Amino acid sequence: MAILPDEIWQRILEIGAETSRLDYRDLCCVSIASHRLNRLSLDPTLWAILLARDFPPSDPPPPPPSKSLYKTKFERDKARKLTQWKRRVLNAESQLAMCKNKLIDLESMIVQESQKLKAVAEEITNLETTRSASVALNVWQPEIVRGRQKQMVEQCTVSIESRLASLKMEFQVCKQQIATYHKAYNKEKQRFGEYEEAVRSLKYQPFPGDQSVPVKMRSKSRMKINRSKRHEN
Amino acid sequence: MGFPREADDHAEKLRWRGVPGVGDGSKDVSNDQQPNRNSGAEVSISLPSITGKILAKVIEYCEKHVFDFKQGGPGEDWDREFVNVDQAIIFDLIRAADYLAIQGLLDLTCKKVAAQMANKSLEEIRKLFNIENDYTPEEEAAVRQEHPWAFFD
Repeated sequence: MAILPDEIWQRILEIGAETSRLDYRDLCCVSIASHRLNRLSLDPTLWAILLARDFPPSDPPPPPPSKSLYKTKFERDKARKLTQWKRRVLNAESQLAMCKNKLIDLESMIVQESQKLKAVAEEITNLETTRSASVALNVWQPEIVRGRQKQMVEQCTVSIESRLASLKMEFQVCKQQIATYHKAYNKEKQRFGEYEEAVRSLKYQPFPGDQSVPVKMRSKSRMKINRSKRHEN
Repeated sequence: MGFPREADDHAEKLRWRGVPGVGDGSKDVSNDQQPNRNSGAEVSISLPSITGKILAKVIEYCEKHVFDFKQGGPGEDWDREFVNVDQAIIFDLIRAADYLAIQGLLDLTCKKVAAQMANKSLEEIRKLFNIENDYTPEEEAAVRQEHPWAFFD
């Protein structure tokens, strides 16, 4: 390292910043390496390049560039991104909760409707038996059975035909309703799965977009793979 | 174009026909030895700090880039292959390019070193560029204390 004079190391750091090969992390690393590199890496020109690239200046004229200015802007930006992420997680979780409630409602509605269906089916069977009994009674049964059939017909107090017709219609409606509920349930279940996945991925990868993923949360090799993608010119 | 003759590792005499558009020539050239570029006169220039091997590389670069202004250079792939060499050779090339004021070669080699610096941990940087740690333990701890914003969550 001592072979090359300061101006050349300065040029190296400058070219590195200009061509986006060196970023704030590299410059900080370099400054811990030795006194000389610390001095060279504090050069405001370098930080001006990084500031212009990472935090483009807004309308009021920006303060003079320096490493500490970069640090301030960096920390502010990181805090802002953290709040944004937290908000997104909360939204996703509430969506998930609402979907879960809807699923519970649909389940209970399906159960209720199925019970109704069962009752209607039972009544239909009974009435059909009664009807065939009444037909038999009127047409061809011998006297011995006739008494029994007569009893059954007399026990039924409603008008058989019309009640049977309306029951059958009700049965169809119930069936249709159950089918609709099942469809809605499946759709909702799918949505539930998607929301679950969204929450899971948000929680696992807090900052989509590789620039500011916290170093501690990724393995070193994955970091190198991501950042070497930036290197390919 | 040029014929390097190696006397020993520390002194070098080169017969150089002026190459238009590349460098200003060596700083050692005295006035009465100034080459007349258009006549192609042969001039002896002394280059005390550059070995024959490095000079050959420099000449190779110059030959490839001599017509950059007219028909463009040899391309990034050739440049990248050219600097794909040992650390020590790159540093020698930098010094040679600086001494001979060959801006293109200087920028290319500096870019290579900058690229080598990127993505490295502290120990790797120190090892790669042979940097001596001249911080006392207290100083080093203090400097590290200034930088958690760049490295940690």
